[in-house]
Amino acid sequence: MEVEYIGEHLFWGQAGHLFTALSFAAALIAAVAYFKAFYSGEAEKQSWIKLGRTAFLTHTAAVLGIITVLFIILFNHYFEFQYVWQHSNTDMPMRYILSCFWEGQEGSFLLWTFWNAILSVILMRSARNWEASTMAIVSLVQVFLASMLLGIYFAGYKIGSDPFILLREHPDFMNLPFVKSATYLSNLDGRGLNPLLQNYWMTIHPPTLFLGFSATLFPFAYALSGVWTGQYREWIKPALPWTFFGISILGTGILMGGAWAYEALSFGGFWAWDPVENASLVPWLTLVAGGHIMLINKNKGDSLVTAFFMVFITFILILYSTFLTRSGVLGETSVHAFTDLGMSGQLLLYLMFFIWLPSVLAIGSKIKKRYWFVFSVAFTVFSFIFFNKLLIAAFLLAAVIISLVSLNKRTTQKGEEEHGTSREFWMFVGSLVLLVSAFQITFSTSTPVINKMLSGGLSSFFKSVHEFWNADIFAKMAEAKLAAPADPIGHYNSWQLPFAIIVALLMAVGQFLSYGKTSVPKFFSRMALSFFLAVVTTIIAGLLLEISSSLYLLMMFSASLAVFANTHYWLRILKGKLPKAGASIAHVGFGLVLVGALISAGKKEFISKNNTAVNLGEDFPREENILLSINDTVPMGQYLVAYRGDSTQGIHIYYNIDYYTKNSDGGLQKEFRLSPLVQLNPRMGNVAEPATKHYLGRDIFTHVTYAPLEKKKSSGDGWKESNDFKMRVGDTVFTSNSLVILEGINKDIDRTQYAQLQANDIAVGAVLRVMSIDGKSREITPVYVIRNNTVFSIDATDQKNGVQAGFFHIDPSAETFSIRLREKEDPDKEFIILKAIIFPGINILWIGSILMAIGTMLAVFARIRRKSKLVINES
Amino acid sequence: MKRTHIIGIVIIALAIGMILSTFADSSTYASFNEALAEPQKEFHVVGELNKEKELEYNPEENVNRFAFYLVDREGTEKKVVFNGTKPQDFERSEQVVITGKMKDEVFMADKILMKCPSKYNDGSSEMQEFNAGQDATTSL
Repeated sequence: MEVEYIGEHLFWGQAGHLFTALSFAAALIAAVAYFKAFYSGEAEKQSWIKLGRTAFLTHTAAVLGIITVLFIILFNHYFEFQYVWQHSNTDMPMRYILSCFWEGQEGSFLLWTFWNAILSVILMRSARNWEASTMAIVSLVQVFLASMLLGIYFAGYKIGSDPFILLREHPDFMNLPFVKSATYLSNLDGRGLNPLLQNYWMTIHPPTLFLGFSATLFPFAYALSGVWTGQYREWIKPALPWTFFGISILGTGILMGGAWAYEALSFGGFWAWDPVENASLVPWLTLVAGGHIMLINKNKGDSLVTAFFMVFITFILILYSTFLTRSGVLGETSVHAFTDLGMSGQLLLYLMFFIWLPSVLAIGSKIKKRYWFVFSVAFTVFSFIFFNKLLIAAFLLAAVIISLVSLNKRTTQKGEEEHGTSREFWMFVGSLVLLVSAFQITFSTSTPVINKMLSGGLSSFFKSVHEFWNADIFAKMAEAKLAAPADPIGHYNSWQLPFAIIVALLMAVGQFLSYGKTSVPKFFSRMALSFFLAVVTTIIAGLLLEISSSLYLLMMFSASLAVFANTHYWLRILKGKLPKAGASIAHVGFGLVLVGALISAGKKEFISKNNTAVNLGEDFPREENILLSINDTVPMGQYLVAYRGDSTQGIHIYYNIDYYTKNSDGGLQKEFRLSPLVQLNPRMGNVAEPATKHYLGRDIFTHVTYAPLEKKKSSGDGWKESNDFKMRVGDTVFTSNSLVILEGINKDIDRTQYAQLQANDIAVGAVLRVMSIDGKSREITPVYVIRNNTVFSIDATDQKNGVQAGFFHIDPSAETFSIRLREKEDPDKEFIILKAIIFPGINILWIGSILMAIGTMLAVFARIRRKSKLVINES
Repeated sequence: MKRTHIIGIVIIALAIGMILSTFADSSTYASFNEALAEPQKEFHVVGELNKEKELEYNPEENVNRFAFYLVDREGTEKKVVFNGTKPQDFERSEQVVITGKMKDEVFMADKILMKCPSKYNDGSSEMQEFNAGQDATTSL
């Protein structure tokens, strides 16, 4: 039976599908045309290039079309589309519509495709004789990305995930009864946006990060073209501005993620070595290393293979991080990985393809190239039939080794070694440190992947090794049930802190070393002032902040040395000129980031210590949360803090917290109010968002960790609902803050106490002793009354303890007496639980971030200017 | 020996050190019984909250103590004591990952990662993480 659905906007879905198909097809045509252009002679070349350009511009237009349609359906709340329903709802503020757009995987792939397309158009117009080769590679990447949105099934495999699928056609919903109704749209609202993402940082962090991801494609395309065309060194010059652009934007994007975590998330800090954070940091590290190696090669002509390696590995790590965060493999280890959309096979295939691609281009001999190609195709077919993780890993490793060995053979190496005092030598060392640091983070983040590898056959091998050599490590390898380190921050810091110290030292001395050979006395005389200032800063900071760890002191010294030395270089040697100052300013910025991270994280202070709490013993020595009852004033660090009640605005409950300091005359002076909030969200659960007071030197971070959201049930008269108890003489019952004991039955009560009693009434009293927790006790006697044929109770109340008792039944055979107890509601019981942290010096970190972004962008402009000058000279 | 060789050897040594340290520092997914066998070691335990039993949380008495009963994947039930506040909406969790050590019959957790079911039957769920200790939130 066909149902005529009412109110659907099927046109937009069709438009979306049309653009998706077009973007895929056009990218494919562009890739083929540019590939043909690369291999054809001068005569045909131009027409192929023309076709390539047209196709690529069509692709770009189609991508813009997809984006427009997705915005239109989101903006108009067309909930018949699953993506709209899943990621938005009607009562969401419109300013977060951008966040809805990239909350889902499809939208974030689209964002990535978009930036790639825009940057590729710039590449198309600036690449000149590199156009055919680089654009062929870039178009190929776009073919892969566009296919992520196709949402078609091919031979049982799902290819891509369609953002324009209808809710009633989505496999998860098509069998639900509500989509069978013709009018299902009439009262349908969406699920809404994850409250964590309803934050202004979430509107700017993802586009910046994805622009950074995109930027890494272009050095990759140039380097690969260099291999393809045999211009082994020439690619570096045009690729340099792209590389520094990537360093700038990706770095900014990562730090914005940190700022978002710090401002809007509850983990109290800007970096927690979460797998998703790590996945974006690692390619940045290798890109920075790559940029520096490229500079070495441009100036001195060596380290060429390393330059290729760094640029290739950066792009591959971007794909790997996409695989990690989107395949669901991180599952239990990360909070903000995407859920699996069943595309892990496709993602893995792309990853494998781009690891493999350099190898086939790098092989020199035509016959060997052909053999390797045929073998690779055969292997791919084989592994589709007999899926074996270990074989795939071995194949990929072979591809990497083949690439490096062939490149090493085909590029000429300089005979002599660099001098031990040369700039290129130490830049090379610094880049290797970055690579090693990236390796450490990647390996530790990859424990879920390692588990899969180990369980794919290696586990029995390690079991036998363990039998032979009884070490704990082999037992762990055999089990293949690795989880993240119990103390992830300690684990990462133990490696990364020493690396950061070395990198900062090299950053400090780098520019004072010359290419070729450095005059040692001159070097020391130039470094002396910075060295002195850094020592003084370290001593002052060490004393003021009471830093006792020698590693922290070393970090402080090397980071401040980097700041002083690079400032010195910029002011004295470059005479404060801006155009060439990129490197100096970026290095100053990175030094400040390290100083700020060290101070704010190393010296952060929990002022919300619960001094009254029961000591839980050595297992739980740490206390971070404090209970604030309404209007109580509690000392917290240098402040006195009071909770002043809550106020509700829409779905946000704000908890108003006043901070006071003591006057000279002992009175309280209000300093500021912070209102951290809890967002009520029936779908995601309630989410708490911190509030932070920013001062120049430090931040006071405040976060509600627990608030009783459900008010206790009340009967409306100031008393809670009653409870009945069958008691014998001597029995005790508990109320929430006292105990009630039935001491005896009094058949001869003092009738003058009970005005309601009449002369003929039969009256029996239950003598109850109410004992409060602090030990004070009172006696109350409710009375059981029989008047004619009716039975009732005269209640007795203990106002002090807030207990009211009634006596309404006697069971003579069982000798039990029914007592009804009610407790008074306590209006003063409103409370919240708070965590408050002081972060000193966090502004140093933000200033450093901004300088780093400015410095790297200056470097980009300097490279572009030099490049265009060169072109003018050539012509 | 050439300088490049020395650098190469240093890097390989570092890489081996890193791999070993990852294995040494990593915790293991385990059941309560496995955790009970090695009480000095930290484990990750995956399980489900027993919703029949009471969740103990009395912030007036101690803000940083929250106790509940968890059934692991082998079906063993143990009391879990978490050094922190009760996560909002904990009752709704469908899967809980706890990190910590077994002490006698009680699991002392310093981290809770919980998965909440979404309201609709679309198979997806949301994860939320809660830390107890200062160490877990120190960052660099």
